Amino acid sequence: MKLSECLSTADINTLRKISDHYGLTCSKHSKLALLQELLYAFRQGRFLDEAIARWQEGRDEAMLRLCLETRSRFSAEELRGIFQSCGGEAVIDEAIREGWLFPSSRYGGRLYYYIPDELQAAMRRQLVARFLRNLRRSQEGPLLYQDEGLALVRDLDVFLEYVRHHTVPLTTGGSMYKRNLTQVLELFEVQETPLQGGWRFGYGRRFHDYPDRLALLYDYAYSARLIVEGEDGYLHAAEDCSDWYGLSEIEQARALMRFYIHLYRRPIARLPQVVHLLAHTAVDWLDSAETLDALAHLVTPYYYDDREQVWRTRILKMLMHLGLIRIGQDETGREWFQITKLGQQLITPDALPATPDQTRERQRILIVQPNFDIVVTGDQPLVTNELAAFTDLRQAGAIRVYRLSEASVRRGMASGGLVSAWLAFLHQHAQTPVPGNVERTLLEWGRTQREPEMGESSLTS
Amino acid sequence: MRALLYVQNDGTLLVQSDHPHYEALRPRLLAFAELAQRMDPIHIYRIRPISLWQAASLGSTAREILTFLRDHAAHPVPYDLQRTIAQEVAKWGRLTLHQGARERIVLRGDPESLAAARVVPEVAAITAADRSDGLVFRAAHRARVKRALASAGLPVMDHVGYQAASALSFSLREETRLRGYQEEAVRRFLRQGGEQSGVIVLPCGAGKTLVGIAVIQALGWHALVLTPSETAARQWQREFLDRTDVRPEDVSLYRPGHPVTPVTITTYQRVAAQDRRGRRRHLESLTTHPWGIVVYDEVHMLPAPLFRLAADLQGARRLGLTATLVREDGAEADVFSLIGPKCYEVPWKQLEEAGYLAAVRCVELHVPLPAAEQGRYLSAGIREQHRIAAANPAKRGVVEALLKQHAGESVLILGHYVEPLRALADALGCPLVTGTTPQPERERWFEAFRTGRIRRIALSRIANTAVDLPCASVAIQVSGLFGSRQEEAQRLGRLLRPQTREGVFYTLVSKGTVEARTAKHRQLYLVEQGYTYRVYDSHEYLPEGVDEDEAVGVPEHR
Repeated sequence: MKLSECLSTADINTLRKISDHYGLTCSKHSKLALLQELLYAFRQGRFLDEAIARWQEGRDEAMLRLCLETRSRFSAEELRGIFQSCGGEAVIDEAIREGWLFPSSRYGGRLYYYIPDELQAAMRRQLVARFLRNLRRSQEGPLLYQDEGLALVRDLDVFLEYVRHHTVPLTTGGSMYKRNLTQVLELFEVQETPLQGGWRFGYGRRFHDYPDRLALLYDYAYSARLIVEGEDGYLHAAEDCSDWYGLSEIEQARALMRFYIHLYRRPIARLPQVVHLLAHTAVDWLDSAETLDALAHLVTPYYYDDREQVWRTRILKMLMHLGLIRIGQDETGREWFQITKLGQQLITPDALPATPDQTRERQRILIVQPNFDIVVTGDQPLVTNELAAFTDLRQAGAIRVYRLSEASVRRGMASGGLVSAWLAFLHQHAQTPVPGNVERTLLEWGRTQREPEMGESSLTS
Repeated sequence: MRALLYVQNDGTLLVQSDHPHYEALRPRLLAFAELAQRMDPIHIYRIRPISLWQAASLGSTAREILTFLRDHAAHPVPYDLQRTIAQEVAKWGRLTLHQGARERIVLRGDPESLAAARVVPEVAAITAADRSDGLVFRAAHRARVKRALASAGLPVMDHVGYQAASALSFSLREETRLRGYQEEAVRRFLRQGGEQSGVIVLPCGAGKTLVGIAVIQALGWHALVLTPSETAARQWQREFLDRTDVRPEDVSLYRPGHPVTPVTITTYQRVAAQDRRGRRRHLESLTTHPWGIVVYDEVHMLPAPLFRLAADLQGARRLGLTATLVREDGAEADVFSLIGPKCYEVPWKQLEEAGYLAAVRCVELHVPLPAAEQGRYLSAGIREQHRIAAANPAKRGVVEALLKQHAGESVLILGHYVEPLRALADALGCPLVTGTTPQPERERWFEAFRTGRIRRIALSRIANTAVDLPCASVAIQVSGLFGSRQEEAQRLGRLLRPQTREGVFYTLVSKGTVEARTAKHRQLYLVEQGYTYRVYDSHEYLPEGVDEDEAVGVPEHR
């Protein structure tokens, strides 16, 4: 809510108290005069900065929670929790008196507290500036860095496809056998190796069975009911994943990010604040070790994980797997990280102009090439599933390539496919016209399948 | 907006050629990646160690390359590829070869690179002395050292320098005009970091010979030109005399026992030839002459062993001329280390658009096998099946119909199997040139074809090596093995000549036979090179149609 809106919603007594607190001299009997005076005062950069500095003093942690959030509406219970460590209830009254929070029950009937948008943004700016003050930053960044983009989303699709097309028995403990596990890991775009033992708990339901990235992916799929650990002792893909497939890649990435924060905040209590803080601060490249120092007690050890391990393995590495940050080392071995565009889009939506979120169905994602390769430029499992029925996957990864061959067509027809239907499918999903030689050859293959080729027929025919 | 690039982990780049920025960005892409396939709207480039060394030799940094990829790729650049780029670019310049005392050369570099060089077996075998600050070799091993290191993934900068060469002065004739890209090629070669050795990549028909001549003229030193065939050697000689005012006695084809002339032209085969005792006398006598430059024509068409021998001429500047950097045997590292980095490349599409080259269209026609042959075909073994399909008598009627359609144009008829080709040539009344045709007779026919006195000529496989048939605008391939991809590039190269109208390349294939299947391979290669490719049944393509019943009745010429 805008400051002007908050002020006009508040009653005259509240406004009077605020103006008294700041020693403003104006008529205390006209709400309009008070409102204008307060608006004027808060719009003075210097006045506001000094007021915020005074107000934030010694309340860093509460401020993190209050102004890094993308929302500006809080319930009384939440506020009590936020201010618990620095004075509780009394601080809430103070905040109201100083004009930082405005209670109102006008929206939705229940009492909520609102921080005006402008004030929240100004508080955030100060907080970020203070956080960055002693950090080494770089705009250029290291030469080499890892950025996984939407690989996690794609690998989840690969995983679902694998479970759907393979028999995946489960051990009595409910985990996949090594053979399936190795196959799955090899199919993934981002490589991981099976676990070698050691202490593992706390970061998810199957965290002790699978390596970090797969564990997150698996737990998500399980909790979203995309897979089922069947009572028959096998892992199954859900019959109907259309809700999931209907989401855009960005929405899927958002779902995975939310799931990660939800899952990992149990061992890492301040994870949401850390993620938000990083999203606001790591616009330039930040030095990883120094950032950990600056985060202080927001990152704490967890049983077998020391503080640095939590930071590097449970936070930075997982954020990288989620595509939210990129990580690299410079020539001296120093580690740097930076928020990605995807990260800004998902965590701090205001930082980027909104991009139209195209739903997948409308996209034409295939390029049919005259050498019978079909390049898939986007991730749409519904389309690629159909494509795989009469082509062979030649190359997986960010961009998949399928190859149309006589053998693949024969296979597709044997399982009941029709060349005419496939052609219609290609025309429907191709970005560019289907090359004439491909179309013709496909039809020809369709014919020769029905009437066996001359060389193969018998002499009596 | 759509992304320009899709980057894959193995260094393959899929590029959207219809992207509005593609034309502008293409030179930057070509600086560190090689164009491997062209199938609109996707062009495929490859980043490989050699292409990265090339880039480094022209001054690109790893950060520039990575930033370019990051700016234009749809997805993040895979980490392994980033690492490869950084590593390979950093390799350039870390090892250098210098002149030493007493016929020795010295390999210098940082300790780590030297250590890596020491453990290459072939290098260890020829090391004359191993000092802490460098490895010493005999000067004669210059080529071997560079090649062995490059194939072990270690590029070497050659600072040894060149022998003193004898001067040669001549000028281009006044009416000889270099085209813009030819001038640029010459300029880039002469600049080339002061090294003045490297490879110029120009499509068939873009005037590589003239570029070579202009480089020799600009340098003004004695020159040795190596070509893949006698015919090509003669063509070089003729171009020299037509295009420049060089004295005719100064340009000659190498003749054993005769003194070499300031410009000497010979074939790779002759250079490599051994006498009965295994001595390479021609190579020895050519090596002793103080050449200023050695030109390697069609450098990527050479068998690797021949090429390595020829590249022993390391004392002179080296100019490689080629239409493609792709080698079937993957020996690109040899070319890079022995001749030098690529210094200039113009893709043919660009020349086609500028009107320097004619566009070529490929048409595959399926010709039904007459009933009698079908019976034989079905009972024959696979080898024989190839022959029967190739000799399909119904093809003659199709060729005649095509000739009628292209009346007045120059037509090449190409065939793999000599006998059916001879029968066809006899029936059509056109000359046939095969591997056994004596050289003077060949030259006569080619000359007649070039001047337009005859409009049709049938060629066996000899068409695959460099001959200049400037006026052909139509080629009809009646049979082929469709084996080597280079073979196809060569055949099409025949058509890619300036001043012709749109060229058409017909392939006649017996319908439903093994020939149709092998033709698929060739089709793939051609479309990957960016040609338009259409497949028709012969009767639907030819307007008046070829009456199949009539075709069956054609008597066999055997």
